[in-house]
Parts: sequence; C-alpha cells; structure tokens
Amino acid sequence: MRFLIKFSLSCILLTSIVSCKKETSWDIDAAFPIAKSHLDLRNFFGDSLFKADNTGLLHLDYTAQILNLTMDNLVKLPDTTITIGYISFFNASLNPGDLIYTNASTPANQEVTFDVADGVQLNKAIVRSGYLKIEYLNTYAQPINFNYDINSAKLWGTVFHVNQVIPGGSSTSPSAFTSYFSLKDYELNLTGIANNKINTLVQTYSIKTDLSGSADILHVGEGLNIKLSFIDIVPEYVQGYFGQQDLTFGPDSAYFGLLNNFNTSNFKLTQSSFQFSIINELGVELNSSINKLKSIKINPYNAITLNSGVLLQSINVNRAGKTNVQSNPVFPVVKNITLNQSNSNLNPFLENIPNYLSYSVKAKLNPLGNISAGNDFAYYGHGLKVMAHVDIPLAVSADYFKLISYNSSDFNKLKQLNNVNSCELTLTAKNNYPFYAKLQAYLLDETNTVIDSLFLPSENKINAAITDVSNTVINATDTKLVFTLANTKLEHLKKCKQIKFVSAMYFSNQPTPIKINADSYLDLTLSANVNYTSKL
Amino acid sequence: MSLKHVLVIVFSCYFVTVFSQYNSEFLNFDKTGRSVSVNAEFEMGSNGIYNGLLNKFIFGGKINNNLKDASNNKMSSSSVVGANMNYDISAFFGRNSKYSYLIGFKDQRIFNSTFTKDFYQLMFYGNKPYLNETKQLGGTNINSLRFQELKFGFIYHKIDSTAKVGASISFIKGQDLFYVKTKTGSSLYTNSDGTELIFDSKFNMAFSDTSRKSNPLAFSGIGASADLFFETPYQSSIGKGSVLTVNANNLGFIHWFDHSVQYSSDSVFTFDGIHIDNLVDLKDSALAYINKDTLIQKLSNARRESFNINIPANLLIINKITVNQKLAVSAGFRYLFNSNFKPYLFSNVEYKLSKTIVGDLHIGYGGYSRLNVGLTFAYMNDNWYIKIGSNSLQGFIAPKKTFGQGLFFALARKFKN
Repeated sequence: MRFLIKFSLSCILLTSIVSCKKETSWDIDAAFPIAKSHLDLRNFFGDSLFKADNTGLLHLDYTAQILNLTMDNLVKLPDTTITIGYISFFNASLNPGDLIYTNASTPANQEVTFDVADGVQLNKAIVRSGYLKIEYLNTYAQPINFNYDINSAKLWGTVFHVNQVIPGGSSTSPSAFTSYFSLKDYELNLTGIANNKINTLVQTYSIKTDLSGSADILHVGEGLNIKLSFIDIVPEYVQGYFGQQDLTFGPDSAYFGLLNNFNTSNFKLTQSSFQFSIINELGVELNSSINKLKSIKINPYNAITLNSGVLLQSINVNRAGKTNVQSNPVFPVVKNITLNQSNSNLNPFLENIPNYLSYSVKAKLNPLGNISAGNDFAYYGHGLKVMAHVDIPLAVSADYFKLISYNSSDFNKLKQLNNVNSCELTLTAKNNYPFYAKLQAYLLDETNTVIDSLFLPSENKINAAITDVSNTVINATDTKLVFTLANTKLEHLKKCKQIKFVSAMYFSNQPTPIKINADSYLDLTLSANVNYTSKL
Repeated sequence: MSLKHVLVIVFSCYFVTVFSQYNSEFLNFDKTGRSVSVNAEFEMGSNGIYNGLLNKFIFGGKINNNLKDASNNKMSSSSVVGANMNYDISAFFGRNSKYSYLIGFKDQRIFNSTFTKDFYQLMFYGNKPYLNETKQLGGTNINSLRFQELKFGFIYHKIDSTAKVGASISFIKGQDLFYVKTKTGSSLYTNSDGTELIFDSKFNMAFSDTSRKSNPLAFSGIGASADLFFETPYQSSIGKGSVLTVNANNLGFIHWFDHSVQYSSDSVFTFDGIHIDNLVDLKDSALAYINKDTLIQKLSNARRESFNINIPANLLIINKITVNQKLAVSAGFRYLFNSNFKPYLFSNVEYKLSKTIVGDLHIGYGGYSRLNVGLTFAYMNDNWYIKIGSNSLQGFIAPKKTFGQGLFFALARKFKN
C-alpha cells in the first residue's frame, strides 16, 4: 500500500508539472503584402461624382435636390363629417318592411361638400387611400334597415353601396355600433347632382323597418341617427381648378455635401456651371422665383450670396401633360436656367466649397387664372422639384487640397497584433498626379484624443509626377516610404478606436491651373516586415 | 524543478522490469497473469528535429535560434516527427484455467508528420529570410488524433500448454482530429521585397468539430478497432528456448460526425495585398480579411461533412531467445501503418538481476527517430508487477544532440488464483 501511495504521489507531481507547462513560442520574420490600391480622385469622393469629357479632363458632376413639392402640399381633402337619419315627431305604428325615410325626393339633402382649402375647386378625384366611417344609433325597438349609396363614387362602374341592419334599441339604451368602409380606388365625381358644382359628392339613402323585426310603435323621439365621416382621404389623382395659390418655401437650406472632407487653400476654379432645373409635374402653370441663394461653409463659417441678376426670377413654367400610362402618368415640363462665371459670381460661390445651399422659393399657381377650364391636375407622388446641378471641370489652382476622413478601426480584433515584436511598413507609391502628397494617419482613442501618428512628418511625402511648365504630366514618379512601428506605436495602435486620415496634395507651379484627367492615378502598395512570436 | 529532473528521480527511485512500450495490454500478461493494471506510455521522436527543440513543445519555453539552427543544419530535405501517448486501466479476469477475459479503458493521442526542410524553415524562421525563393511544401503532412476506447477481449493461454492467443475489440469515441496533407508541387514563393506571395495551394485538410476539441468528453466521432496477439514458444538451435510474439493493435477506423470540416485547394494564389479602393478608408472589414481564419476560408473550399479515417495500426514481431536462466536476448520489428513511422528494428538484452528484478537494455533504429537506446527495470513478486523504462533514454541525457525520447510505466496488482 505504501508503494501505491508513493506511485500515486509521483503521478500527481508529474501531471501537475506537465499541466503547468509554459507556453511554447518562437520568433519568425515574415514579409508580406498588406494592401494595394489604385487610386484616383473617384476613390476619395465616389465614382458618381466625376465624369470625363472628350479630352479626358475630369469634371466634378453633382446634383442636389433643393425642393420637392408633391401633390399633397397643394391639395388636401379634409376629413368631413355629416349627420343624417330620421327621428320621429309623432307616434307611428310600423310593420316590418315599412319605409321610414328616404332622401331620394329631396335633392338638397343628397349633396355632401368638402371644404377644400386655398380655393381649390375639384371636380374629380381618385382615392388612393381613405375610409368612410359610419356610426349608427338606433332608439327604435325594432331592427332598422339602412340602405346607402354614394352615387358619385364608382369603382369599375359600380356605385359605392352600403346595406346595414341595425338591431333594435331604446331611448334609454340605444343600439349603437360603427362600421368602416374602404374608399380605395373609388373615382369621385365632385360636381354634384347637376354637374355644376365643385368639391361635392352625391349620396342617397333610405331607412326602413327590417323584415326580421315585428310590428311595433315608433314613438316620438325615436329613430335612427347616422354619422358619416370621410376620413384620411389621400387622393391618387385630383382634377379641377387649383386656384391662384402663392406658395412659399423657405428660407431653408439643402445639404450640399459633395466635398465635405475636402479642405483647401487659395482654391480657384477656371470654369464652372450651375444649372437649376425646375421640374413641373403638375397640370398647372407656374411662375416661380429662386431667391436668397447662398453658399454656406460651416467650418470656418463663410457664406457667399449668389448674384445672378434676374436669371432666377419670375420663371414661367408651363403645365405638365398626361401620358395616359398608369405607371408613369405625367409628362413633366422642365425649365433649365444655367449660371456660369460670365452671368453670375458662380466661381467664388463654389470656391467657398459649401456644405449647404440656403434658398427660398416662391411659386404662384395659375398666374393667368383658370385657363384650363377646371382641368388642372395632379398625381400622387408628383409635384414640383427644383434641382441644382454643378459641373466643375477639374482644371483648378490651389496651394493644396487636404482630404480628411475618419474610420473606426478596432485593432483589438487583430489578435495577432499582440504577438508582433517589431514591424517595418513599406509604402510604395507610383504617382501620376501633378501634385505631391503628404499622408498622415492620426490614432484616436475612445475620447477622440490623438494618441499617436503613424508616419514621421519628415518621411511621408509622395513625390509629384514630372510635369512641364503648363503642369501637364510627362511621367509618373516612384516613391518608397519606410516607417517603423516601434513597441510604443504598436501599443497605441491596439488602443486606437478611430483613425483620422489626412491626405494633403500640394500643387507646385501655382497659380498655373493643373488639370486632373480620367487616367490620372496614384498606385499605393503597403507591405510589412514583421518579427512575430508564434505561440502554441 | 524541471520535468527532466523529476524523471531522473523517478528512474533512480523505482528500479524494475522488461517488455517495452508497444501499446498492448497482452504483452505483459506473461508477467502479470490475471490482474488489474494501469499503464502509461509516451514516445516522441524525429529524424530531423533534435529533442532539445521538441522538448519545448512538451515543457514549454522559447525556442531560440540555436535550437532552430541545430535541427536545420542536420535535417535532410524530408523528415518525420511523431509522438504517441496513451494511458489505460485494464483487467484480466476469469476462473477458467485455459483463458481469461480482458476489459479496459484507454486514452490515446497520436501525432505524426512528414515535413520538408522548407516547411520547417518557413515555420520556424518565417519567409523573410527566403525572399525571392520558392519553398517547397509538397509531401508535408500532419496527422493528429485523440480518442478514447472501451476494450473487451480475451486471452487463451493454454494452447499446447504454453502458447497464447489474444484478441480484443474496442468501441471508440473520437475526440479530436487534425489532418493536413500537401501534394507534390505545393509551394510558397515570396518575391524580392515581400510585396507578393505566390501560394501553390495543393492541399487537403480536415478537422473535427473545433468547438469541442479541447473537451475530453467531446463526442466528435465514433469507431471501432481490434487488437490481435499471438505468442508461441518453439525450439531453436540457439539457447534454451525461443518465443515468437506477434501483436497487432489499433486495427480500426473512426467515423467523424457531420460537424467535421474538410478543406481542399488546388489553385495557385497570388497575393499582393488586399485590394482596397481607398487606402485612407481602411474599414474593419478590410482588417477582418487579414485574420488568418478568413484567409484560410478565402483560399480553400471548406465544407462540413462526415468522413472516416483509419487509425494508425501497430504491428510488432518479437523473437526472444533464452540463453540461460538469467539472460535472454530478443530481436524485433515494429511498424505503424497509416502514419509516418519508419520501420523500426530493435534488439533487447534482458538480465535477471535478482529473483524479483529484471533489467533490460534496448537498442533500436528507425521509427520516428534514428538510433534509440533504452533501459527498463521490472519488479515482480506474487502480488505486484511494476515496470518502468524507456526505449529512448538518449533524449533525456543529451537532448540537444539526440533524436527521440520515451517513457513507459506499468503497475499491476495480481489477482489470487
């Protein structure tokens, strides 16, 4: 037994030592590529922003929507409630099936008029969505049959119809309930009984004792009370006379963020154009003006007002046409007004590199009155749009461009980084741009405080392409930047939550404009030599 | 105190007997008879990597350049490395004078690999010292396997009064598998400045359910195996008698379940960096791409499916000649199928030191390593049988200059007849 105990203790000792074994590790030297990129300006700002012209010169081509006014801003069918029914003024003995009341013989009671705002006079509408809500209150002791038609609301030729039996009740305990009926896709004739009115529906109804009931006495004060409500009506189509409305939009501002991460000094354009497009998808004439147009730069704040004389004032726009194609029912009318450096101060306006455009827009509908004879129209989703289209040929001068971008980068996900003892990064660049570039990447912690930078300021320059006196590129140049990530920098990299990249492009031979062509590029290859501890 | 010192103490304290580490319960039956026993075996070796470096994988620690260089300077273009470790508890029992039953539980770990010198260099030095070179990886394979088995068998020990025949079957629970095999032509080229890697990725790879690999209770596969044992004395012109022993064990397979993963690739990949549209817009997704698991998935065709693998089977043939009452010599052959084990030839000289103690000197060549020299001592009385020894002592004495090491131990409590 003693021997067995000795053996067991020895086994435990051996097992303990083996299980407490240290990590096995060894160092290797690895050389590998990390990333490769073929960059042109499109990589910085997005493909869709640039277009090349016939000469290969890149143009900054940007469109922003300044205003989008749709039909519901112009015409609204308000919620409308009417009360109908019959309350007896005398005691009457009734049998099942007896008629109590009908409005068939009193045309004045057959019309329902919508109180449409702003003097809009509609003669036709098609409902996109909306409901008829009917609330019943029966104080007669026997069930009552309610038969209701909206004669001027038709769906595929069929009149809107409701037939409802309301159970019997009493004055002290009336029978009450509510029903909802969709009016989706119903076409409404809003011209009344004689087709000479506006905003007016026609309805007929009758109230009878129901055949399921018994003979009984309808006492004084008893009867059927009905509340009809047209609620949440959204038209798909409206037609009529929209009146001479004065519409004002703004002052307001529209985001114009084409160059938000762009910073420059002494930036000068050689050429530019700014085209405003007023797109009228309404079947109504317009007279509009675009006022108080300003280029607003946020940081540092600077605002420049566009001076374009009367070019943007009193712009008459004809009414849109109908295509009779359901999926695209409107043939819009587009009015373009082009501004450039010769008819405005457009270059300084754009050289401000705006983040926002502020504006106010005025529009008068039907400036000449009801010349369409009540045939103004509007479709859901269509209206009045104002677009601003910028075209800047990239033949520009400046001291420098500076691009700043922020990227969240949690290097803690790269567990292998913990095993890196030293790292030497090599950035190889082939530059075909007529400017030299300086790259810097700032490491930010979770409080956005800069804790380190990747490149030494003296060793981050990518040489410019070789150019002639007119800044035309003759040959690309190669640059090799080598930088060491020492332990401190590696530790900072692990703590980094965000990297702020600053790429500065410096122009030489200024103010001679440089041209940036579609085939300009900057090839970058990043590779690493790493001393790494492998662990098991 | 290092494990090496402990092992020396253990050797010094417990002197005991013979018949060595061949992963078979039947081999000791001649000495133990009906008994309950615990057995543990460990062997590791390489014909290209010195023990000094391999020891770092057992005991931990930093592998310095001296250790790397020593093996690098010695190894040939293709080498092998392997390790087997198993322990078991088993019992022979029964009342019949002609045969006994066997029941046992065993845990086995098997690792073996053939690797090119280029593979070794890339693994331990990295690719930077080999810029503008193509490193050949073809022919490299790595097999790592761990499983547990429940064994049932019998031994018929009264054939012609002295011969023995034994057999057992085992039900296997697969715990962990890792397998990779590169084909001819597989290589890695690094250009002169490290900006381009060309990986000719002809390889197959498989592993069991990775989420459970470290869990000894993991049931990632199921299988079966059989052991066969035959021993017969015969008359020879040399000595006073001879015994021929033939043992084959681990004859079986494991079926790995559906969560196992297989990779295969047969393409040439040129990697010159992750192509990023904007280097100053390095998103997390780009960083994730650099992750090694992501790279493997990009490079290969991964699929989850079940598959079978054969367990490395162990064949042992020993011829023992009894010279006189105290001295016996034997010669043997050992081979592990489905592994990278080289044919192993060995000889033992067994000397009875006293009535209860037997010593055994072992000399062999081949296997995972090269020359092996070992010593075993066994102590035996009516109640106990204890054996401790090594077939590869050289690894404990001069680890920096030798290949291979091993250790085994058996303790048996004999049943009263």
